[in-house]
This record gives sequence, structure tokens and C-alpha cells, in this order.
Amino acid sequence: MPERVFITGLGAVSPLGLTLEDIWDRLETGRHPFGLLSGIETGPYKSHRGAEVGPFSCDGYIDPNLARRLDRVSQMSVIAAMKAVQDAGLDSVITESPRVGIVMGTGLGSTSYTDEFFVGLVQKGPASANPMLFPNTVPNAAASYISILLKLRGPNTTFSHKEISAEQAVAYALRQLKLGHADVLLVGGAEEISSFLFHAFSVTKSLAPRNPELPEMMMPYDRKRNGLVLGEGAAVLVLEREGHVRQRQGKVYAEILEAELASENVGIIGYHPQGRDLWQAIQKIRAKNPQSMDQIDLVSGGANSTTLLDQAEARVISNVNAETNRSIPLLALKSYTGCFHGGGALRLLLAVLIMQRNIVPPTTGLTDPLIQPGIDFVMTEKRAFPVSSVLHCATSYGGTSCAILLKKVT
Amino acid sequence: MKRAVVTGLGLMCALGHNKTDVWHNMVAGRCGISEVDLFDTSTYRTHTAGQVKGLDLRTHFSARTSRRMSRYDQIGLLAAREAVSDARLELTLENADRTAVIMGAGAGGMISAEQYRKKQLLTPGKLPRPSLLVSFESSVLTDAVGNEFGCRGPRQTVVTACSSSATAIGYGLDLVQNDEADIVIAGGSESLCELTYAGFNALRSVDPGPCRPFDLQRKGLNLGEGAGMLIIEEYDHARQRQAPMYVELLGYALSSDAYHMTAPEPAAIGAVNAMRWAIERAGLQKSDIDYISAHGTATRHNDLIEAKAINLVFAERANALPVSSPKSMIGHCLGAAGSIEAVILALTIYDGIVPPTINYATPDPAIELDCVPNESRHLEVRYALSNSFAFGGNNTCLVMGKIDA
Repeated sequence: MPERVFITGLGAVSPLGLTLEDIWDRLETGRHPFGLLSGIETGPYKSHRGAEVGPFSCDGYIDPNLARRLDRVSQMSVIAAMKAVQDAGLDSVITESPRVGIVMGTGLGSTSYTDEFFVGLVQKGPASANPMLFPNTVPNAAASYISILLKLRGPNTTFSHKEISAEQAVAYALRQLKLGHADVLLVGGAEEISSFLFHAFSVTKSLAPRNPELPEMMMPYDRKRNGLVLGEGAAVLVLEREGHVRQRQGKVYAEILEAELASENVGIIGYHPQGRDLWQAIQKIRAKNPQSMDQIDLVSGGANSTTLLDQAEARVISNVNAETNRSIPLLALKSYTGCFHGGGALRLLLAVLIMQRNIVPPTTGLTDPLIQPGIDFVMTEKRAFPVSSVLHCATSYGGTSCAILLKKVT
Repeated sequence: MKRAVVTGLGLMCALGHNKTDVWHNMVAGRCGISEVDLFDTSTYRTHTAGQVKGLDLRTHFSARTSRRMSRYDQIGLLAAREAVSDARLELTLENADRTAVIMGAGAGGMISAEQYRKKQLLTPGKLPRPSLLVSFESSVLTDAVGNEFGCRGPRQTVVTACSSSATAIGYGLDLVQNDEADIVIAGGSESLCELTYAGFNALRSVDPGPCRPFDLQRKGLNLGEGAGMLIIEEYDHARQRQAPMYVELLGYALSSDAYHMTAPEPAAIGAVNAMRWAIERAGLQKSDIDYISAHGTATRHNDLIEAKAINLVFAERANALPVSSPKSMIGHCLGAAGSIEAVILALTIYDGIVPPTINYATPDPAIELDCVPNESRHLEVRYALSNSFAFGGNNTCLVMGKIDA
């Protein structure tokens, strides 16, 4: 029987705050972080808002000379990783053993450095291309800086798969730990809102307001939802084998029971209208872990305020309810994080905080839910009830979904 | 634990558009490095690369598909088609849920995003075609391969620059060994683009002429492009459908240098760990290894540190162990390098021919390796390693062997 895998540390640099306390405070009081984007000239576009990470300092985390050379995605990721390691109470004797590693997920990594490098190349020619920027253009820069600064010698890898980039990192890390290929893996996701990324999402017509009559905000599962709002940030979770954490008598937040993926053939940009890929991923969890499915207290949906995905996901959850003969509360945490491709790690972190506090925040922006029978949307008011198990759902355009099952350890 | 065999191969690179042509040219020790004509290199310090030439993508894809998929996606899909047909694989409703797609990428669809950005910068006021940005993301290929063959299992995309697709193959092995998939389409693709061309030039790590791995006069790497695809299949599943079997995939390991973004660690501990752990997980002894397909980029530091690592792992056997670098013939294909070299290694073991390190003239006294200079060699290879080391100190080592060796 493979060993159990626990979440033993959390760290984030997020639009909701830089400490777990601040992040929880915003969540509990239902205050979303969306505002006018400060770092980007949004004049030419229909959209102007996003969930930005406020000012943060690398002091105490990264040597100032090095910090200047790091792209923002790497800075946020390194700080989040160091916070998570600290939170887990891991000392350097442990982190520097070859059985500790890092797995990250990001859509495109540092799009601002990549763009700066490319614009310099086009405008000034190859001779003045900046060799300091180039190494930070690779999407694995964040994981690599984490490994370099924390001296992690175990597995080191990075996934990129649109909205489920961070979930893929979790799925890989979970398997490596269960197989015994490492004792501790930091796993996280990160992304930044850059001018070019904002432009790309705008011209591909993904951003709210797709309908100029409707508000520019995240409204998951709402009938007036009309496109997504970008977010950014980094979150890192410490995943650890049970034997390892027991031996060092570390604290345990929760267990990651399963992380399952499935896919459906929808073309390269669509979502399956029935959410068949997500349904299949959940069915795989059921097959591996039949009893645990009946004990889910909360579904953390991947709804992103688009017409298609939110409806498809609601259909899937409706089927889950029908199968388990229940009406499991459904919450969309992207209403707090915004959409970013490495955002799954932050949503998982929030789910862990919810399980710890037994308080479920409202889905902000949701007042008039789409019609789908048998769904208990968590809207308007926070709820207090024991949350022992959370099903985290994530779907990416192009037809791949990931479902992750978290459970409290008693 | 289930056994995993390789039942289909697809390959495209500077030496040809399919595995038969590439392998024929490689065994003959031909060099695929030529003048780049994919973009204008006149203002660059160097002008050559291992570009895939003579390939008219328009004959393979509809205009609609071409608009939505980058050169990276298209090259990758062509190699995947070859691998699927080589494996005589037909995906049905019965096996689709148990078929995974794991891809590795370097720059991904950067060449399309570059086209967009260049137009935007050079002809302001005119909005370039937004669909060029749709294919920016590396995972477009993963979903496109899944869509084309109707795979409904897990799909994942690894992005660790030069080790991506080796890791993708390793992950595919995990899925089969642990009974999570019966079939995995695993591999990687890379298209040359200006970002990587300018980047490696800015780092001064490109040799203007053909690269010379392990040679005393080596001056750096040549960039390359292409795709390598493998069908990894559960042994009994393959046997029941009487599929062709090239090699058994035995193990892999990832390690981290934890040292520097672009320079390898002088003590070579990361590379040593990757090789040792991979051999151990394959259930082998280091004495079982007959050949190493080196990372062998031909940069001064990589080759030195890789040789040091091989010496540390294999001790007195190191000097006698054949170690060659396919990159001497096709350049460094970044995100696709690991999978292209894995396909070549499968053919090496299957045919009993070790490809050479070409352009080798002057031995480096600091590198005491048998690098199979200039001419391929007939040799029975039972077990072999393939090394891939990437930016940021991401190391991957794969172990393959003859079936029932």
C-alpha cells in the first residue's frame, strides 16, 4: 500500500495578501481583490481590471543583488516557497537532502521578461540582446530559482497546461511521493499579469466584459457572467510523505488523497459542453477511493465566469450530487483569485484554510445563479459547518481536467 | 509493477522527416547543420542551425489548422502520426480512456507569438491575426495530439527547457508501470525561433560552425528543431495485440543541481544523482550499462561536467564505455532533444548500431571518454542511458534496454 501524502506547509504571494492571516481575513469577509490594473496601460482595451499582487519586498528572502535579476514570477515563487518551508518547520538539514524537490505549474512564466527580451531584439538587434534576461524567459525559471536558493537536490520539474498547470504539478508530485521517489516535494503555481499577457487575453476575447452592458467582474455560475478577469500571484504547498512528517513530528494541514486527470476531444480551444473530462476525472477518484466520495463536504469549482465552462461544470456537479444522493455546497474560489494559469495552487491553499477554519466564504459576484437542478451554490453569505473533505475541480480549454481530493487528517 | 515497452517511434529533425531517413543519415554520420532560412539571421553572430528543411507543412495540414497551430504543433503532430502508425495503433472507445498524452516543450509556439509581436511593433496600427497567440501555449500540442487520435486519458505538458521531453517520457513510464494507462503517447517538439536563437547567441554558447561535442576545440552548441514521439505501452497489452516492440523502458530519475541558472555544477553531483537513481530504479547495476547517449551539447562546461559525472558513476569502466552525442549531427533541439534522443536510443538498441559523435578531431585531455568518434559502430547494447540536462539545473536520465535482455 503506497504511503499517504500530507500537506504540511503553505506559503503565498497573492492578490489576497502576503500572509495566511491576511489571506484568510479577506476570504472570510468576502472581499474580492479586483481593481483597476495599476501596472498596465489598459486605455486601448475594453477591460481594465484584475487581481494584482500588491507591493511586496524580497528583503529577508532573496539577496538584493540577485533579487534585481529575478523576474517577478520567480520572485513571487521563491518567497512563497520560503514561506511554505518556514510554515512547515522544515530546517535546512531536511531541505538540502537529495530527497526533497520542487514541482511548479505556470502557463507562460515570465511574460514580461520574455517580451522585454524580444522587443529589445526587434528594436536594437541581436547584438544588444540582453543575456541576463534570457535565462528567465524559460517557464522553469521559478522552480529552478527555488531549487537554487533552497538547495533542493531532488526532483525539479515544471508543468504548463493552461488553467490546470498547477494541478498537473500536484498530480505529478503526489505520484512521485507515493512511489517513494522523494520524501518532500514543494508544489506550486505562479503567473504574472504583464502587458503582453493582458493584450493576448484581450485580443483573443477571453476577458470580461464580453458584453459591454454587463459588469467587468468574476461572476462564476451567475447568469450575467460574461468572461474572466485575470489574476496573478504564487502559492506553494509542502507535500510530505506520512512517515517523514510523523518522524519529525511536523504539523499536518490535510491529506491529498487523489489527483486524477482525464481528457475529452473538443478541439484546441473549447470546453466539453457536458464537462465529460471533469466527470471522468472524478469517476477515477471514485474508482480508486469509493467511500471518500460520499464524504465530500464542499466542492471547490474551477468555474471561470465563462458561459461554457461554468454551465458544464454545474452539470457535472449536479451529476455528482445525483450519484451521491446529496447536495454538496459548491464554491468558486476564482471569484477571489481571478484567473491565471498557475492559479490552482492558490485555490488549493484557500481550500486548506477553509478546512482548517470550518468556514466557507461566499462566491463573490454570484447573486443570480444559472439554472441547474440540485446545486447548492455558496453565495452571498459565508457558512460555518465542518469541512472535512474538499473536492477541487479544474478544467482547461482544449479538453483536459483535473480533480483533486483533500481530506482532513484526524 | 507493470512492464513498459516502446511499440512505435516517430522522428523528425534536421537529418530527415521520418525515423527511417534520420536513422540512415545518422548511422552514416551525416551532419544536418545548415544555414537558417526560417528567419533572417543576417544581423546575428551565427547563421546556422539544425533546421528541418524541405518540409511543406501546407501539404500536411488544412489552411484552417495551420492558422491555429504553430510550427511547433505541426512538427510534433507529424511525428506523433508516424509513431501511432508505426505502432499499428488504433484507438477505440475501449482503450481511449487508458491512453495518455504527455508532451515536453521548450519554446513551444513562441514562433507564432513572435510573428504577432513583430507585426505589432513594426507595423503599428494594424492588428495582427489574434489566432497567432492561441498557439503560444505549449500545451496546444498535447491537446492537439489527444484530439487527433481520440485519447481520453491524462494529458500533461512538461516545460523544463532542454530536459522537458525526457521527463515526459519518464512520466509516461510511471503511468504505465503503475497501471494508470495502457498506452502513452510521449515525446516532445521544438521549432526554431528568434527568442532562443538570440538568447543562446547572447549567452555566447553557440558555435558558428558545426558543433564538436567532447573535442578540445569545441566552441558551443548548434541549435536544432524537430520532434521525437514514442508509443509507450504496457507489455501484455502490446503482446496481446502483437504490436512491434523496440525496447523496454526501465527507469528514469529527475535531479536538481541547485546551483546556477545556466552553468552546470562543478562537482557534477546533480548529473551523478540522476544517473545513479535512474539505474537503481531500473533494477540494474552500473556494470549492466553498455552505452550512454550523452547530453553532449558541445559547450565547454557541459561536456566537461558530463564527462566528470560519467567518471564518478562508472569509475574505472568510464573510459571503456561508449558515450556519443547525437547533437553533433542535429544540433540541440531543446524541448524536443530528450525525446529525439530517446527515439534514436531505441533504434540504437534495436539495431545494435551506436551512432557516432561527428566533427571530432582533437581529444580533450580533460575528457577521457570513448565518444565513438566520427563513425558509427556495430555493438550489442543491452542496457543504455540517455542524459538530458537543462537550464536551471534540471537533470533527467532515462534507462532503456533490450526486451528480455
